Amino acid sequence: MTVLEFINDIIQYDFVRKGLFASIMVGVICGVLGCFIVLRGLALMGDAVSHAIVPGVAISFILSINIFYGAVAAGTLAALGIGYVKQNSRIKLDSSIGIVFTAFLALGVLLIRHAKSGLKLDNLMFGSLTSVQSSDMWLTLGIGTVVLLTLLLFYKELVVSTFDPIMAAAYGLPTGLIHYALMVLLTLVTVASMQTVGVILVVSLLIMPASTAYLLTNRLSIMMLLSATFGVISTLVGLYYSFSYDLQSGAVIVLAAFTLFVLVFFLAPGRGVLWLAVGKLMRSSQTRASQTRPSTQHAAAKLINHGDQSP
Amino acid sequence: MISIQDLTVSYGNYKALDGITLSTGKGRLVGVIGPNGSGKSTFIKSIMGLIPRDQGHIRIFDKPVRKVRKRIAYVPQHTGVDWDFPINVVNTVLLGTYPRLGYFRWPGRKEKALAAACLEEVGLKPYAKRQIGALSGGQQQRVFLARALAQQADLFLLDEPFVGIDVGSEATIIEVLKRLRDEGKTVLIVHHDLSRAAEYFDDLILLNKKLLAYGTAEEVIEPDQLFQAYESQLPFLNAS
Repeated sequence: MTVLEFINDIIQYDFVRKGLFASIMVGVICGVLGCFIVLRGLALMGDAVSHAIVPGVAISFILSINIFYGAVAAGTLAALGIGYVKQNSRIKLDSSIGIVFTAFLALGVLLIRHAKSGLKLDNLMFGSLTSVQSSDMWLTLGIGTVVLLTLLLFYKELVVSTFDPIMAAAYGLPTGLIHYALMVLLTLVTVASMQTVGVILVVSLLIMPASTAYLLTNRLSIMMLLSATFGVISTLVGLYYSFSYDLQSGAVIVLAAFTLFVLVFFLAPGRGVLWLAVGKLMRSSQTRASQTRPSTQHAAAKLINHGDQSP
Repeated sequence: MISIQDLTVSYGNYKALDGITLSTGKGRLVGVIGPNGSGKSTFIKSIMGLIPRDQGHIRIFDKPVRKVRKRIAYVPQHTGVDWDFPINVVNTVLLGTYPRLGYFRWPGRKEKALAAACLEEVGLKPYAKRQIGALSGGQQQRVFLARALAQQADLFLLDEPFVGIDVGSEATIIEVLKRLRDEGKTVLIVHHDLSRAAEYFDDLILLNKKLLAYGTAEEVIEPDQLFQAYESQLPFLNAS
């Protein structure tokens, strides 16, 4: 299917439009929230919390309530559990994360088997853009609005507590509460992204576009804008391939985001790895040139002297 | 200004501060001195209520600390700052206006003008657009002083502001702090170097877990007093 045919499909078929809408929304919210996850060094924590919502989703199905409630409860519980284990023992944060989230995920895998719903573990884990329902779309829109509005309203406080947590605490910001509020936002974003990328890979959509943007700018507002753009590009590529070639959307999205990251990592003007290497090469050849210059001048002087001497 | 009653702080079984009682006046430049591990930083952190205390009461401007946080500017030793953060120098200073703005209000023209003025006061106006990590240690320390100025506080607490910085930055910082003192603000500085203590400060608090001396700089810089505080770290004094 060519891109033109694909655009035609978008205009013609409702289910493709729903997929498109969900893709754009998820690309934006993951991109924006991802900036704070990256800057606070919470990549691993994000991975854990997104995986930990699985049992919550399963229990929601068993109790036949909206998956939203179960997922948020499980994600928040996992974030609190990780903090609790770390604070009340000598266990370090990364181990604490590993302990709590694998336990949640394992429980989730068993529960989903027994939930006997139409829910496919595969779709939940890896995303399935072709099966986005109207209800999913509204849920994504609702979550997106809440997340973006929260980030906007508390932007100042998030910036201070991320950049200088001691100053934030000194002037009375509730830094612990801010951390757990971010974790709640993270579970919300994971729920919104389940259909698009799936819980296994959602962390990459949080980390990769934000990291790519981080390599390009020294301004947080620009970083968020770029990150959202990269997120949307990645999800759109995922949408196209999952409709055209029936590939798992999550995997395609991640590889698209990774391609963007690799390009920027090597080619970013001024600080890409390739750019720096070329700069280094040019500098060293310049010093070589300046080292050889005196001898050239010497030779030239000799020539001139020689010319002067010759009658 | 600050009144402290029987302040005691422990880390596990280790007593870092033991029964400190003192109160400071308005418009004074006060140095907190003492040997390494004497609890100087702990003292300033517990005034800010950033670490739990075993016992003791602290009141600032006659109120509990949590009610007057916005009137205090605290410049910690900047080990907790992310130097790669995507923020430039002038926006770092602008953060100082956030406590007064509170929630849901954005910095406007007034706040931005204040940040620019504070940056100029520490002599860093030409560096306004630089990323914060692309400055020298002394310049970074001046940026955080400018941010404290932007807080328009009445009490300034600085933890080892002169460590690892250039002479010019040190001179600029002490000049700004003296001006604050002259405007009637109280400035409390943790300082480890005795050589300039008398020159820099009006009053000195000499700590070594307990309060050993508190008075004007001339009174405290007495050999006897210092001997008592630094005894463990100057073993050659015992021999003489």
